[in-house]
Amino acid sequence: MKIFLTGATGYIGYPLALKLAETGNIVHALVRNPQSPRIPQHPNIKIFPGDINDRPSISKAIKGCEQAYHVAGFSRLWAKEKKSFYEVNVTGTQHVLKEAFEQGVKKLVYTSSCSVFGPSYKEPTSEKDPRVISFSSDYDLSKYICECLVKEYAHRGLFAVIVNPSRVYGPGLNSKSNPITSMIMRCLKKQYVFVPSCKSVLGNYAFIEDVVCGHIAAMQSGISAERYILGGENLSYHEVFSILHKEIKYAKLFMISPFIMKIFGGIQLIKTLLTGMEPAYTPAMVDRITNNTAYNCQKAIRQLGYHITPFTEGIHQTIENLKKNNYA
Amino acid sequence: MPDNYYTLITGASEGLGKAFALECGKRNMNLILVALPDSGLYELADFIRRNFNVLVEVFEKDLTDSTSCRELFQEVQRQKLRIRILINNAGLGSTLLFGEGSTELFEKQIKLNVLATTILTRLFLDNLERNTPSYILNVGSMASFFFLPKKQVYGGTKSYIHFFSKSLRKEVKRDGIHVSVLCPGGINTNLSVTLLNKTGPWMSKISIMNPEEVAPIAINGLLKRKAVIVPGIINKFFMMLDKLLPDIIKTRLTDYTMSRLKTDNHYAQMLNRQSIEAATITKVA
Repeated sequence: MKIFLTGATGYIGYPLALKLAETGNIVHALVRNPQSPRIPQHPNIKIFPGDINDRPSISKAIKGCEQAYHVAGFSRLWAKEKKSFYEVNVTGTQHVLKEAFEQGVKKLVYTSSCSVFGPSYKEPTSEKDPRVISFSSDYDLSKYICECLVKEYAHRGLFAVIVNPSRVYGPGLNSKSNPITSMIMRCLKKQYVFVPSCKSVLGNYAFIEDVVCGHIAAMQSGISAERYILGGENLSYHEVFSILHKEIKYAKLFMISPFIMKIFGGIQLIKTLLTGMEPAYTPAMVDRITNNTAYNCQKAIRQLGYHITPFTEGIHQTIENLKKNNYA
Repeated sequence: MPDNYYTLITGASEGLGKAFALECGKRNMNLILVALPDSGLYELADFIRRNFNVLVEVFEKDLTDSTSCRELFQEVQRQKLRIRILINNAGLGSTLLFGEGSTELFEKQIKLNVLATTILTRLFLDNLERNTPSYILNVGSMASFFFLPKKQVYGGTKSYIHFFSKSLRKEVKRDGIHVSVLCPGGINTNLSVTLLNKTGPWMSKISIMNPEEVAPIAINGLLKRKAVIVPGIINKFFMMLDKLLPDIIKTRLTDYTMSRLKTDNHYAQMLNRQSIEAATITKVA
């Protein structure tokens, strides 16, 4: 089967492209830079130079494809211009949806994010729970608008399923989308790692392989216009760090209070204002990691047969993989 | 478990109404939530029941129709629900030139903002009187203090709410009913408004608040029996300026700000399927 895919050079798209290719599909991967070292290499992966903001390039790549995975997105929390979030995520997604609809793609899976749900309350958030606080980040808002667009196309007749990965970790490309893996790498290199001291804050940790399989399962058994949380275990920072310590005895985790982190974030922002350089992190990012974000994956487990790899096992595999690749 | 009194909130499915529902749930109040059909009200009610352990009743009603207002009242009476707080929050905002608006839009706006509030307050007055001390919170707007172009009808409806609330307050105080009017500035209520708010002129942008910030201030003010509640430091500052500045400067300032106020946003437009309501109808307060 021919399958169109965006985001093949990204953290989730890369292993997804390979998995699809290995199972005998022809993957039409839309990539901005065909010379990129991050392009997945497989005889079944056909590279189509293009951009989701360039409709004709999508048109060319999606021609004849039965399925489409729209994984690409501007997945940052900071941009020089806020416009980027909307141009890449919203306009780009609209282009992909339009082309998929007009060219008769049978099924589409859109990769959203758990950040559209916002912080969780007493119980882990599930797909139908209302968002409790307003959107503050442009990334979250842009992804939410994309979901609305996907649902609109689904109502028009495009079979489109939304998946919401949570905090994804595991072996793979070193990118901004997998901070947990970068953290493990720093630990392995015996570098200091600064972590928030709010030990009881819950997060949801999804193993990359589960997320990739979840995408394929959503394509197979997902219901159109529905969304599925692809997550993992809900763990407090305390639990995460103690598991990490068990695996890497020499890990140098340095607790730092969120308040101090915020002050540094503020200084970073001032630096950005003066120099235009990208901040390492911002106060808004601190808020993000100090809010509870526990998710309930029961819907995906029930309807898609989604599988959750235990965190200890996922971390173990990640470490083994990093060691095998000389921490790169 | 809370007592057996209820707080009735109209327009509870999104924006400020949703924030009121969550805030009152947090404060252990039983809720009667009213909003348009298919607006996600059942999911919200379910979330509140699970997280706050309070009773939540749901009524899906289009309050622009006065028959629906009466139906709501009758159903509440039939279930013998005792109301202690009535929050008239449902409203329709707009930012557009008078000549650009359709008669249908203005009719809907007046019916919802003015008529529904009046009818519901009248119908539930006896119920409130039996459950004193009881409270009525009407959602007005800062637009009721300033004469703003592009907000002629909206501002007019909110001036009515302001006038109505303050007058009624004097009347029903001796019966143990306390009336407050909330006068917020811009709020990130729904998706299109949030997007619009991001592109506005700086003077309105700095005053924009999130519903979850406004709701607790409003409920605190209501329970403290304040006549007028203006949330936010910047909004309060604008109110102070209003008293201090001479008329000529105020006129210049509002004209300048309003002339730069955009009434549509590319992404908001993309989202709205109905073309007339799309770029123009926005829920402001």
